[in-house]
Amino acid sequence: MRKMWLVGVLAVGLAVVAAGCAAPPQADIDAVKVSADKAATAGAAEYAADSLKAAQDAQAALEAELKVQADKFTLFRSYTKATELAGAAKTAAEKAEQDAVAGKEKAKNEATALIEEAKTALTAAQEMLAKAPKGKGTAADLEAMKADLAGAEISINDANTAMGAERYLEAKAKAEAAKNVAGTVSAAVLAAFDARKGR
Amino acid sequence: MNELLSKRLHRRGGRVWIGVLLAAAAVALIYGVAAWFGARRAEATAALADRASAGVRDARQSDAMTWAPDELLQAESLLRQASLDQRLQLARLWPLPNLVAADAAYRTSADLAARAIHLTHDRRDTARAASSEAIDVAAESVQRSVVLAETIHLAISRKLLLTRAKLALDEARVFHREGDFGTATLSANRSRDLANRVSDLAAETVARYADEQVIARWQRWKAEAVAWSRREGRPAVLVEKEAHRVTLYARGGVAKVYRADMGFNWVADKLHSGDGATPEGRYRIVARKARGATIYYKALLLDYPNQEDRREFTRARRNGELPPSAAIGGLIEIHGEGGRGRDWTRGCVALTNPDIDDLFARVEIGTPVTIIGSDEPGALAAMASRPPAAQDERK
Repeated sequence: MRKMWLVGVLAVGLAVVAAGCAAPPQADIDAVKVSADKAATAGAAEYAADSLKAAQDAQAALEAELKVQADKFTLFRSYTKATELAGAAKTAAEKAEQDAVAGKEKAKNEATALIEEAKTALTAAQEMLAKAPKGKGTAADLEAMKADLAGAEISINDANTAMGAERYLEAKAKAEAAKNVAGTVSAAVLAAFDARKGR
Repeated sequence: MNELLSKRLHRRGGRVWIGVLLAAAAVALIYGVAAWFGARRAEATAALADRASAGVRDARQSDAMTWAPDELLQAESLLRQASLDQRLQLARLWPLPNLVAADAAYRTSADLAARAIHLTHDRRDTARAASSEAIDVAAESVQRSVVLAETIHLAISRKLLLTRAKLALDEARVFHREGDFGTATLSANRSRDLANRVSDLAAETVARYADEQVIARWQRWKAEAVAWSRREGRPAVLVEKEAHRVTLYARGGVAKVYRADMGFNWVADKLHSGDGATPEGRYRIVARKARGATIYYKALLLDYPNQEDRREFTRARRNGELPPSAAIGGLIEIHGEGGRGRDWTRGCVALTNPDIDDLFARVEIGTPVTIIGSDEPGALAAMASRPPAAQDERK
């Protein structure tokens, strides 16, 4: 009788322990979701596609493991591996977020630098144009160059607008085009100075 | 009796144990065989899984997400599903898994990944080629407009259009270089359209050079100038703006031909001071400026504006075509310091210094100077007659 009672207590105890061990690591799973959302918000799809893919693969592995364990009989479930996978998925998502921030910053810095170069080129061209030799037959050329610099200025403004909307490739393209036009005007004015010296 | 019962019970217990052992051995044997077959099966599925994973990885690295996203995402989804099916089957107690569904999903995933790569190459090559072609077309349109701008004086607003066309072309080249072929094509098409608008506006400017009535009038002026020279036995000067040519007639025959630079807006008929246009009409030399009397080496002053010019100026001002501060202008001359290979004057006709020396010696005050656009349809007429480029190149 006493033995039967002891066996019964042991069986209940085992069941309780098994049920406790069979719970999925919900806090870790929630942490993975939060990290994945942060990576998406940081623009990982555009600026850290590879890292994002790795994070998505890690999350898929976690979900697969959770499904496998859920399909098992309660006493046979173990979420040790799932906990490890959740940790790995969270780390991968955090890396994707960091890479996205870094990638976006790099694109922004490149575009910013190019806009500054374009502004410098435009200012230089405007100053040169102001000092350009004026004389017989230069009015039409000067007018054409003024129009070119006006267009370059508009392009730089458009580049700044694109920066504000985080369209960094577009900003780079407009800044580079403006820089080229300003450079062409400066070269033309220099050539006019040289021609004048050569007379 | 008790001893006999005990022996019988002992023999029965032994047989039971033997039976249990035999049953356990049979189960173990069956389990072992199933496990062996299960392992072979799992190996085959693992090989399919590796192949599918590698295919999807290659597709992603080849930028299939840009060019064949549907196929890539479907391949990845099937890969995940296959992986889950495989794991569920392998986690079962019975060691012989059913991996048919997983195998099928792996195969389909691998096929889709291969298709994604194939589509990526095709679509990217097509987009790259389309972008290159659009850029080439835009570059041609811009170049044509640049040449026009150098030939025909463009108003500042039209010059700005041309600048925007050049900027859009540069942007297209940057996008193409960065691999964004779609945006490159859009930018190139915008450049082409802007450049074509400039060409179309320029065509409007030169419409007079294709106008039969205008050409007929110019032909009549030329004929009358030549006839006068023949009849009077005196020199007459003909200026042909499109040909950039000054012809001296003596007794109705060509005595000398000179190459001339014109006003920077030579295509137009002069209307007001500062418009850069070389006037069209029938004039006479009213003054001869020798060296020292002009900054242009030597000069022959014409009686511009004549009555017709004044009439036209008054009409334009009355119709609001001119600002209130506009003046009719004057001081139109044939002078030296020319030979620059471009049109730079404010409306005068500029010859080289040796040529103005020659002409100066052959003409006098009162010599008629007839200035026309062209006595026959030429390149400007062809430009004016061309269908609008914007319609030409839109397909």
